[in-house]
Amino acid sequence: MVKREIEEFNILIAGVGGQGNLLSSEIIATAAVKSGFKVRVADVFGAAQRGGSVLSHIRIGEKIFSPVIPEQNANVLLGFEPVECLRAAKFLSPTCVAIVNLRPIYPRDVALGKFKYPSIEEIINLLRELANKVLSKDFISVAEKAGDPMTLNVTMVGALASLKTLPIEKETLLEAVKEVVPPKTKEMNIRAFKMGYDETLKILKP
Amino acid sequence: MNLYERIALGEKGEKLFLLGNEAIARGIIEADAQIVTTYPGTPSSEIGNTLAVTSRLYDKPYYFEFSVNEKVAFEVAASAAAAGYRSATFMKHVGLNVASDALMTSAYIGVTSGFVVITCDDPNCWSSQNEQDNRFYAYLANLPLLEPSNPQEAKDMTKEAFSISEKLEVPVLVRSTTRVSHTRGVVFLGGIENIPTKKFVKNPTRFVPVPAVARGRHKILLKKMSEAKELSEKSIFNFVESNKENIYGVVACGAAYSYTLEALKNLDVEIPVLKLGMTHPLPERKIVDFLKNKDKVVIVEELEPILETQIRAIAQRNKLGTEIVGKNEGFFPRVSELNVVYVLNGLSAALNLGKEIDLAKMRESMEEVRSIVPNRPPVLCPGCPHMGSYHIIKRLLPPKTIWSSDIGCYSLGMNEPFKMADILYCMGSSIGAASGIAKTGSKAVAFIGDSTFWHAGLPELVNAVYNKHDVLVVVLDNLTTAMTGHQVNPGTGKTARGETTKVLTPEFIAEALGIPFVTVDPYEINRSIKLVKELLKRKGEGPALIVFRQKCALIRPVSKIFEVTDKCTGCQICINSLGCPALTLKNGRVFILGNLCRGCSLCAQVCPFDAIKEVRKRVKG
Repeated sequence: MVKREIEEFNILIAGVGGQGNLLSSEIIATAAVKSGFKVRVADVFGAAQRGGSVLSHIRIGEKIFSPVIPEQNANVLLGFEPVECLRAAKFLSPTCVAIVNLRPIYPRDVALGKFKYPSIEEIINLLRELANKVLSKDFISVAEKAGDPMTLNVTMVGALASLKTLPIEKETLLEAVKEVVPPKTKEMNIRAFKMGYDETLKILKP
Repeated sequence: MNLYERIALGEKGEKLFLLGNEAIARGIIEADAQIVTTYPGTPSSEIGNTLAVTSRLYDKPYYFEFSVNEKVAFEVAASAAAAGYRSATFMKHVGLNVASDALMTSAYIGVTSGFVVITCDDPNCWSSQNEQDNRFYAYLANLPLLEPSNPQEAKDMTKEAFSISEKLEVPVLVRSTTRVSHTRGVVFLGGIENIPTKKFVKNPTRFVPVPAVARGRHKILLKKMSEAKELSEKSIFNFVESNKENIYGVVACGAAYSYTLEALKNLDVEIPVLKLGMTHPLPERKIVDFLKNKDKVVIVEELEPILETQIRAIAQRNKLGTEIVGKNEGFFPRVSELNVVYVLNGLSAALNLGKEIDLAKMRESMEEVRSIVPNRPPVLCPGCPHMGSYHIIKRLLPPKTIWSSDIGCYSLGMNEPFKMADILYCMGSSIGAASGIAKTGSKAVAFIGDSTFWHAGLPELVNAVYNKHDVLVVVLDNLTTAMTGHQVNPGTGKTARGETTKVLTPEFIAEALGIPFVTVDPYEINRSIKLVKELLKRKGEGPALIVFRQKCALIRPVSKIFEVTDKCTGCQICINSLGCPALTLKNGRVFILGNLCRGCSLCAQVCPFDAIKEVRKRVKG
């Protein structure tokens, strides 16, 4: 493996416990290590098994020390859930590219009718103000087409692979997918990865 | 080879990408520890999860157990080390409170082979009831302490701790934090040692600390700690980074060291940093060398100002004029986790660099965003049997009942729609606290999980029987230690290494104690109500026990799911009774999210309009 050096590249994954965010963080980190980079990952979550906010910080580069991305320093936001993207807003750098799954998971207060879930337009507009570019789509429907909504996490990794600014090659990410996902779900996840990639390219170049 | 196989069998020089906790597990393996124990608790749980798997990969494996609590875990490992086997025990920070009785005396009587105690602290209480700084235990018990900053150090220090322990014949503490335990990074493996075991040599005048023995052992401990100080002076974990001449300096340890390096890089200043990895006893000569010729030294550490206080004392003892600053001057917070921005601002202010980031302004700019983002507190999972248990009990007892809760997923019963947690201290406290509340004349109910019941609930229940406390004890038995990731416990009939063992039940205990009890299924609302009502009719004093038994929804296979039919009137009784995350509103009616539904049928049972129906078997889990 050739050791490669870049100064700093920060990817933030924002989602809800149970969406499989930790697995995608493992895939991306594995691919970054395979690419020869220095990598550090922090998975930030609470006590509950499911349902709470979960952030994964993936930091690549020679000049990083903290496992957690400093505020306003994320180069990419991989948002598994719309309001979770807003909750992570303080981490976005002005040059950030945000890839956003548009299918919401309503928090308890919203389900109980005690708090209004902001409209998708409102969420996207706010993200546009904070980030350089917002690529949004109902990625759950893409995952469903791949065979199971639970493949959202790998679909999102596929979407990430379409970014030109990403210092990791698409092939390396796919290799990591094959390595990290449970063997039984490998075929479906490879499909999810490719569909996530293709669908995001369509947003980039319609 | 999968990751576990590589952790267990990987050779010296191999490079793995590991979680801090996996690195600690590898450190224990490299040190050739033979007896390893734990009680699971976040952020330490992955160490045990890893070692439970890796212990099955050898012909002659080390012994690993999930003990019923941290005190037992500590005693099993400590005594094995006293008998001549390298041993380790690990736990979350509050777990060390449970083990602290044994810890204090183990410092006196010591060990003959290496014994390492790993405590995983939780600054910011990510998954804990407090954020106590367990470095104080090293001072309280008078034991050596190592503090890793990243996964590589976590492995290396764990391994080194065994040598130090063996050299000094005392336990050695390793203190990780959530940000070290839950960080992934590259770890270069070391070789796996081959340490011969010894036999227990009877020596009551050392190992039985009656007062006359204890007094002598205390003196011996102090002598050992002065030897430890020399080890600290020479430790490779205490070093100076970027030793350029400067009137300023920084001392840092643990996760704070990583933040310091990045903050200094962002501040674009070259200031020498003394990195302390062995933080008790401190390397006084090394610190004096660093302090002299410096005008001001900033101490960066998480939680309590322990290094700061010690280093200030060292400066005074050695008549140095160096100004020591840190939390005492308010440059860093004493609560929560640090991060790069906090450290950058603290350093900039302390050293008058004028490069602080305006956090208030940054937060103000996020105000609009924050105001529209709904909170997302953790919730009971879809189909969680605790929802049924809470619903049933709520229907049977008056609203003014005081609900005494315990440590587990079910602590979330404090939230809507149940609001059934009024007081909580620590593992097992539910029964003791309910007893006290009952003595003040209120009706009191204790909720306690199965693993927590075995952990610390037993003596509390015995106390309630013995002292005739009129409490209702509700055991929420989901047949696993769920919150920390589904570890086995005495109710599961399996040991950590997968061997079959006796299945213990709270009903055995109730029977032995001669108290009334009933076992019900939280997924059967009407039947449970009937049976619990019977139990509540009982006359007499002392506790009664209800066992709600149903497997955790995350490990129970899904065979059917439910759907809402046209009969739904949108009354939302299901949502307001259960708060299940699979229930949501759509066009004024309730809608069940098919991918979340676990088919528990609770919503169908509470629906007054018979509007929720079983639809189909689901193929995928």
